[in-house]
Amino acid sequence: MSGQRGFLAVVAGIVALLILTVGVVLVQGDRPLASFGPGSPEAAVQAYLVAWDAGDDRAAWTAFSARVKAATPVDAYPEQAQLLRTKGFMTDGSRQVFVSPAKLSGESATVPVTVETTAVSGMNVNRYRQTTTFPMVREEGAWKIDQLLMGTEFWYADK
Amino acid sequence: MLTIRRLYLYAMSGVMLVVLASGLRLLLSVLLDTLGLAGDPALGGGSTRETLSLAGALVGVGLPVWAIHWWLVRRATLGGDAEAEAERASPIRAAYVSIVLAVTLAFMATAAIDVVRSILQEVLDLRPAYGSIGDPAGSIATILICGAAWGFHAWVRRVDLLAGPLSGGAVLWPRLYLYVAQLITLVAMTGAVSGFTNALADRIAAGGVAGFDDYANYTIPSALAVLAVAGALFLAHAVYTLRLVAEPGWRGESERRSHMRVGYLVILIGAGLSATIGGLGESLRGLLLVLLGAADGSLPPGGIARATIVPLVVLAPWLGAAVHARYQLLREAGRAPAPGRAAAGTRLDQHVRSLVGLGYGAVALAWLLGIALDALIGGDRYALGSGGRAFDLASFLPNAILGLAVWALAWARVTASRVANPDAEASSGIRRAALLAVLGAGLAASVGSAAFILYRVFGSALGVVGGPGVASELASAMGILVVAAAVALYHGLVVREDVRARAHPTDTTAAGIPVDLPSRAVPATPPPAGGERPLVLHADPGVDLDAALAAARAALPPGAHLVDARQPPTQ
Repeated sequence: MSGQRGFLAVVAGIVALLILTVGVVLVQGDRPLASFGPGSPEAAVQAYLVAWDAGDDRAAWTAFSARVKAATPVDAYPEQAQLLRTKGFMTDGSRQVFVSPAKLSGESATVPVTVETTAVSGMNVNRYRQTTTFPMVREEGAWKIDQLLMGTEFWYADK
Repeated sequence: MLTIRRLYLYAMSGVMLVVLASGLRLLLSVLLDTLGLAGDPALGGGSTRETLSLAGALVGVGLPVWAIHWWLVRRATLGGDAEAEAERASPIRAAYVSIVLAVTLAFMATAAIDVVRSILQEVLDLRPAYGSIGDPAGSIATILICGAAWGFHAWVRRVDLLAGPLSGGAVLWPRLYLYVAQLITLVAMTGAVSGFTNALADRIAAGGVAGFDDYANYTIPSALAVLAVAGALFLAHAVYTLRLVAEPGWRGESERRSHMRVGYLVILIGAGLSATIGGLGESLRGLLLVLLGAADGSLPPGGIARATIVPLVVLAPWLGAAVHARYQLLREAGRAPAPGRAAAGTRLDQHVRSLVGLGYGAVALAWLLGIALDALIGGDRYALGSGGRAFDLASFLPNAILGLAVWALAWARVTASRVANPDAEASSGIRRAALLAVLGAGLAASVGSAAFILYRVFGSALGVVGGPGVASELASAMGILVVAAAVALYHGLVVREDVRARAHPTDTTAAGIPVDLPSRAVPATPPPAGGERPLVLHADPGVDLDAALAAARAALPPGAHLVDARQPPTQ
C-alpha cells in the first residue's frame, strides 16, 4: 500500500504544481520593468537600450562617451545601425533584457547586460542567455558607455 | 508474450516520462521566473504565458498517459506470485530503471554545473565580458524535476531489492549504471582539474591582470563547478559501491563476485597509471628542454615552473584513483573465498601495469631509435631548425624511461610468479590474454612498418621517391620495426614456453625435485585398483611402432604398465 500511496502522492504533487503555477502567473502577471536610480550607470544603459530598440539612433548615440563619439560621428552611427537592427526586436515578446548591478571603480564602472531569448518551435522551447559587459565612464556627472555598441554587441568603427 | 508486453509498457512509460518531465521543467521555470528569480527585466518580456501554455499541454498529455502505463507496470509486480516475481526480476525492468537514472543524473549534473558556475562567477567576480551564460530558472527547474525523477526511480529499485535476491540482467544493468556513472564523473573531475590548473597558470603567467580575460573568466569558474558537481556525484556513487561491497547479504556477495567490478577496477588502474606516466613524462620534458638548451619558444607561458608543476597537479587525481583501485582489487581478491581469486587479482594487477608500461616504453623507444637512425642516415626531419631534435628527445626520453621502468618492475613480478607457480601461471587465461594482446600488437606494428619500408625502398629503386625526406620516413619506420619485432619475438617465445608447460605440467616433490607428470590431467578420483586389459597397438604404414609404444608408456599414470607380449615388461 505504501507503494500505491507514493505513486498517488507523485500524481497529486504534479497536479498541485500545475495549479499553483497557473494561479501565480494569472495573479502576478508579467514582471514589471526594472527602474534604476536617476543618474546611475544602470539607468544610462537602460536609456540607451530603449532608444536603440525604438530605432532612435541619435538618442542611442548620445549614450556613448566622448572618446567613442569622436571615433564614430553621429551621422555614421545610424548608417551602420540600420544594417544590423530590427526595430523592436527586444520587445517582440521573445526577449527580455536584464541589466545587472554595476561594479563601480572610481570614475569608471562595468554593467553586465543579459539578453534572454526564448525560441518556441512547435512543442520545443529553447531559452538561452547572452551577456555583454558594458564598460562605463563618468563624464560631466553623467555615465556614458565607453565602447561602441550596436544594440548589445560590441562594434569596432571602420578607420 | 510477456516480454513484448513488458517492452511496450516500459517504452511507453519512458517516452511519456520525457514528455511529462519536459512539461514540468517548463512549468517550474515559469513559476520561478514569475516569482522574480532572475529579477525584473530592463526591457522586453511577455513570453511567460506562451511557455505556460506549452507546459500545460505537455503535462496535460504526459501525466495521464505515464500514470496509466506506470500503474500497469506497478500492478504487474504486486501479488507475490510467480508472475510478480518474474516482473521484479526482469532485465527489461532493470534496464529501464537504470537508463532513467543515468539520463536524469546527466541532466541534473549539467544544470547543477550551470548554477554553480553562475554563483562562482558572481562570488569570484569572474564574469566574462561577452559570452553565453546559463538560465538560472531553467537550471534550477531541471535540477528539481530530474532530481525528483531520479529519486522516484531509485526508490522503485530499492523496493525491488528489498523483496529478495536478484540475478542476471536484473543486477547487471543497475551495476553498469553505477560503474559508468563513476567513470564518467571521474573523467570529468580530472578534466576539470586540468582546465582549472592551466587557466590559473595562464592567469598567473599574465601577471594576474584583471579585466576582460574571457577565457580565464569562463574556464576557472566552469572548471571549479565541474569539479564540485562531478566530485560530489563521484563520491556519492563510490561510497555507495564500497558500502555495497562490504554488505554481508546477497547484494554484497553478488557485488564482490562481479566481473564488472573487477573490470572497472582494472580500467582505473590502467587509466590512472597511463595518466601518471604521461604527466610525469610531461613534467620531465620541461626540465630536459632546459638542460638541452631548447627551452626557448617550447615552454608554455609561465616557463619551467609551469611546465613542471602543472602536469604533476593534473596527474594527482588519476594517481589517487589508480592507487585506491589497486588496493581494492587486491584486497577484495585476497578475501574472496573462491580458490584462485587472490592469484587472479594479483595477475590482473601485474599484467595491466606491465601492459601500460610496455605501451609507453616501447612507443617512446621506437621514436627515439627513429631519431637516432635519422641522424645516422642523414634524414632532413630537423633540417628547418636546430631545436626540433632536442624537443623530440625531451618528449620521448622520459616516457621511454618511465614506461620501461614500470614494465620492468611489473614483468619481474610476473616472471617470479611464473617460476613459483609454473602450472597455474601457464594455464592462466589472464596471462594468456595479455601475452597474446602484446604479441598481436607487436606483429601488427612490425608488419605495418615493414610494409612501409618496402614501399619506400621500392619507390626509391624505381625512382618514384628519394632524398633526405625519404630517409627520415625510413628512419621512423625502422625504429618502429625494430622495437615492435623485438617485443613480438620476446612475447612469442614466452607464449611458446607456456604452451609447452601446459602440455607437460611440472610439479615439485617434497624435496623440491621436479617430477614429470602425465600430460593428461590426473583424475580427481583414483582409478579402480588392479586388472588387465589386452589391447592391440596398430600403426599405419610409415608409423614407427616402437616410438608409438614408448609414447604410450610415457603417458601412463603411476602404477600402470604396458606389456609387450613379445618382450619382457619394461616398467
